[in-house]
Amino acid sequence: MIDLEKTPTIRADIELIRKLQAGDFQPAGMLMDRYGRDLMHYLASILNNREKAEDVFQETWSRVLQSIRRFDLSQPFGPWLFRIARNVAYDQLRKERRWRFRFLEPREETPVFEPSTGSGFDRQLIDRNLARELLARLEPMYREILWLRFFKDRSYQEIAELCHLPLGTVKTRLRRALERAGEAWEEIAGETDARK
Amino acid sequence: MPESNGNNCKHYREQLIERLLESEPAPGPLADHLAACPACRSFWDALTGVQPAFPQADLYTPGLKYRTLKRLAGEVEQRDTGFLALLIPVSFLSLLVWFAIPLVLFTWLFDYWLSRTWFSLLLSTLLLTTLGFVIGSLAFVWLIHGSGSGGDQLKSRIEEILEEFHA
Repeated sequence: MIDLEKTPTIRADIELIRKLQAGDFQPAGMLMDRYGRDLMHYLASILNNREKAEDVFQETWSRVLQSIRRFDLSQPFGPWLFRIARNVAYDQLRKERRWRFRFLEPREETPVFEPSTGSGFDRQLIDRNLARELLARLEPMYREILWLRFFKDRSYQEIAELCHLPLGTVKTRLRRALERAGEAWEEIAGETDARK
Repeated sequence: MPESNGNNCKHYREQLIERLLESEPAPGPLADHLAACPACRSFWDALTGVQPAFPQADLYTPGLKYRTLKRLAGEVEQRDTGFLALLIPVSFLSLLVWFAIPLVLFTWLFDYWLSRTWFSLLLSTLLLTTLGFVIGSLAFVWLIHGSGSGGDQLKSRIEEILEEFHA
């Protein structure tokens, strides 16, 4: 797994980026292979929807190609790429919100993630369906920060750099995300009781 | 869902969030409460269950890569065609702004002083082409030596081209 903040732009990346800067788009495929898995997980954590994450993934690489000439080769490529992806994802969410507001459509999120295939995280007492529903009820920025902290095990400092947030805000947002998860859990619990 | 004990549970749940933030195990009383209170245990399980609820399957597939590369190829092609379509009007405009208009103005100025139209036209052309060459050269030198990474990239590209040429 790639360490976004700690991995400098490695020699192989530099060669690929140079080619991209020279106008050859083919090396994008190799960069995609390197960062694609993490990038898709990150986008899915924000958007909570695979199809939307795929759309944003494509748009992200399109923007990468548009602005690759401005990329500073002394900087690591990963955080730069993820920041672009983050901006595109939040732009997408803003557009959706405007659209929903204009036409007063009820908020409807399609489910999120496929059943997990890995068994390493199968721990005691975890109700995956409940946890997935809980995630779906969280705001994107809370899902994002929970993913970065608890799934990717990023430090507060790394999250602050990636999200362009002050360190204090990261801590506050993470606490708020957990509190919100707790509230969502209570909502779900209430609804389950009401159905019985 | 299990019943909770109101304020008591609320207090413990705040502590649970604190533990999670600090990535520390629950201390004695908290652990005792978790063992005794099914509602708080369920709450704790829900919070810790967030991590495995994130997708672990590979969402980046060959199909997605193919679609993305196809889109990029289309955009590059469109950009190239768009560039060619823009080339003619931009060249015309640039010729007009940087050459034709100054030429008329300088010819008119020289003609005013010298009263010899053809000579004024020749002089203006000479002046403008020399000026254009000097400005162009200066801009090129500045681009290579004075503009940071953009200049370095251009420099390395020129070096590459020269190497290829020698090879």
